[in-house]
Amino acid sequence: MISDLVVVRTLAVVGVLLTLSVALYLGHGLRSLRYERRKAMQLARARVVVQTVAHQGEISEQEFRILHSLPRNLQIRLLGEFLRNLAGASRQRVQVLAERVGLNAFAERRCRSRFWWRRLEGARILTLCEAGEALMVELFRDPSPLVRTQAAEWAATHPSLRVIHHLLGLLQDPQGLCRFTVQDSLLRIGRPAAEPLRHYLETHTGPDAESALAVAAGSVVPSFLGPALTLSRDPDPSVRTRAAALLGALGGQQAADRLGALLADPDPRPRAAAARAMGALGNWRSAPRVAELLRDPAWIVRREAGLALRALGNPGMVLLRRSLRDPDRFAADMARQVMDIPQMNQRAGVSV
Amino acid sequence: MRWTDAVTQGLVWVEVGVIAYFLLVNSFYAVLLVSAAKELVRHTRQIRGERRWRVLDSKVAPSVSMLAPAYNEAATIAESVRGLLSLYYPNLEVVVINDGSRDKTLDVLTREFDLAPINPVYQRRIETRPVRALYRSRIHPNLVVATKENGGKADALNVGLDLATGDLVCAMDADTLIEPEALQRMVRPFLQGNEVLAAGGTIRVANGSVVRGGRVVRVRAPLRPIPGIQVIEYLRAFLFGRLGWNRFGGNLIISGAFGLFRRSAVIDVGGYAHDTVGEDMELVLRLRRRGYETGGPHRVDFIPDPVAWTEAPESLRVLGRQRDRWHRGLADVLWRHRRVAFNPRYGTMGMLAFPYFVLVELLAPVIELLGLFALGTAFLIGALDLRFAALFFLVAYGIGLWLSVATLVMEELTFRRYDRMRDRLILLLWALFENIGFRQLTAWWRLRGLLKFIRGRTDWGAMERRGFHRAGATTTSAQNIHARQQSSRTAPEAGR
Repeated sequence: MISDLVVVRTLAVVGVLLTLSVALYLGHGLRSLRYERRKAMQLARARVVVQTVAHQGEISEQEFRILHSLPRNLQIRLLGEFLRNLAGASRQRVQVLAERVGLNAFAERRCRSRFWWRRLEGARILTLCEAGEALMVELFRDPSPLVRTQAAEWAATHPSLRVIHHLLGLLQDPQGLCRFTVQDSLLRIGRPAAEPLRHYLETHTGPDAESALAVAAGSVVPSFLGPALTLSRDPDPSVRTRAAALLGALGGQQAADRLGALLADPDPRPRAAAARAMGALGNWRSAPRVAELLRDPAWIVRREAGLALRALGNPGMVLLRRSLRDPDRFAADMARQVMDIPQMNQRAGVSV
Repeated sequence: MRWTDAVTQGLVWVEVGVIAYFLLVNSFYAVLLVSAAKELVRHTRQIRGERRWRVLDSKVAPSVSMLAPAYNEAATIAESVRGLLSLYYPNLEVVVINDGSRDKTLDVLTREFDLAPINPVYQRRIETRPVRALYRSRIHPNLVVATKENGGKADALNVGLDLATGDLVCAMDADTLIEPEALQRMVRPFLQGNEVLAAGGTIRVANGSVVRGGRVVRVRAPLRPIPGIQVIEYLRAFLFGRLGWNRFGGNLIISGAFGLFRRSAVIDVGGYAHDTVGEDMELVLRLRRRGYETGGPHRVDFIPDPVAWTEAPESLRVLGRQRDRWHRGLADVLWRHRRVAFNPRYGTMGMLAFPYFVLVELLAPVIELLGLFALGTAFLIGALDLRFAALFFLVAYGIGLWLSVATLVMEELTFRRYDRMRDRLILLLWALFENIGFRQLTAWWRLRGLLKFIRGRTDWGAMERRGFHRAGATTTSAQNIHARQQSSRTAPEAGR
């Protein structure tokens, strides 16, 4: 049924596959061991050169050649190590050294590659060296989301208006990691991004505005009040929730009035966010309305209302005590739970 | 026709069937291997030169709650918790669930972390055994300890799910050593999009390595054969098994020793099931099923670079019990979700991954032992065809050996954790020995597990650990967990 030939052929195939795999495994192991040993020596010498540059700024041509003769990947590794950990003049000197070694030119060539991983590598090097503005701005429109993400990361250290506008354009990127990086970069940029962000919030609605609201809540600027009020009426409940958080962070009478209206929102998320914001604002006038939310059908709203009442101090505590006898057992139960929270959590400022 | 002729003829057909089965299975493994290699290349390119500090100090990074169930771990719990608190992640909460320990686990925690009682307002969305008390550390406000009546690991994790406040929850064993940067790497798929429900990282065997301060500081290949061979098994299961499935969207297991989940999704499906020994796989299947059924997210990713270290059993007795239990768990979970099989509603999970788990992972020991039995019988009655025998061994074990070596090649070309030539040679030796004796033994344990499942046995069996201090040269933490009753299914689908 089975001929010898089949067995011999199978044996040959398995044997060849095994031999090749073992040879590759051990061969690569030997090679990498030798390479590591050589690399360690080269790196040690080059590290001294970069240290000299970082501290004094001047190196001889011979010293430069040590760094220059290093394989490209080791140059990137070594200079990256320094650039990540230095600041100020030392960092600038190392950046100049990186340019002199040809790292920037190499990265720019990579950025023009047709392969995404090369463009990504180039963008990462340019981010490290804080260079290549013209090229990096183009990468905001790169087809690869990873490259766009890297461009957004780079933007955090280049807060020009043009770059910020590009960043805001990426707030609607289909890829989550890119949106996250854009939000993070805008938060790091801070004030310079405030005005373009306000304009963005004024001109966008729905899901397009949601990510921007998260950024706005993290960098509170009074001029966000107008857009926050408008967006708190958005048809999308997620947007209204974010807007409520922003209104809570901004404060003021107008914000409090609008938050009061959001306490009656048809969706539980904006109601909960509004209750939380009222507590954070210390708006004791709203206490009776917040107390009504202890009877809310949604647990999250009852919880936020309870915690907000407690945060409001005496006016809230009075209402909480009264709610202990509430015929609605859910309201009474929440009031009891909130009043049971030991003082320690309050003092330590620990969330409960 | 004489009866011996009839038996011989029957044995021939059995052998042909077994050889055909192994050919088919190994061909699929080869596809998985190629798929894993492609994934690994893509992933390596993605992370090369990546700066993870962005996640580390970002205001918009998702919060993570570590859920660490503990049962009678007074000797090690303080160091384990310190290890968790020192993970490099910004919005980190550590929830330790003392599952009715009868030793001084709670006393140790109270003394070491200055615990004070709290009454947080939290919603009990999952039914669990009663929680006796809750505490928060005055030294580390992000440490919460719950003490409850004993109910098993799944129940403890469910309490943790109720209490946790993080967007993501990381389920783990209290004695798993998680690398400091692992969480930063693990959140990546969750940042990429909302469609990811869970992500798993690589579990590696710590036996033989040097552990200091709760960290594996030097990676070494174990000199003892039983943990040594398990290194190969784990590498194969994670590096090519789970990674290979990534491309096909067929990951059904996130190791209970180290997995990250979207908390809201886990709560929505009711948390961990109490009545199965395969609760980690069961949860993933339930999550994914619900995703398909509701048209919601259903992706489960495996990420190769976040690493957690575990202590593998060092005795055959303990290993046998573990494999028996894993296989019972696998059978139980596949039986519970049998409607998924060949159901186009569940996409690649129903049409490819689930049937694979049934036909390959569940039934492989049956087929393998059937093949060996047929060969043995043929030998005894003098009807052994050497060509058949040679072909069987080549197809079943020769290709298995190649797959193991190929996994070592992948490890060498990418992560290269075993950096001494000596370790490489030792691993090569264990890869060879795995197919001679060990694999057959494993097949027997798995078959035993399957038979127990059929008979309706649901006990866990005791899981004894030697402790990292004996496995490696130096150690001070998160180890020495004796007689643990629960240990996660860390590398179930050995992928041979």
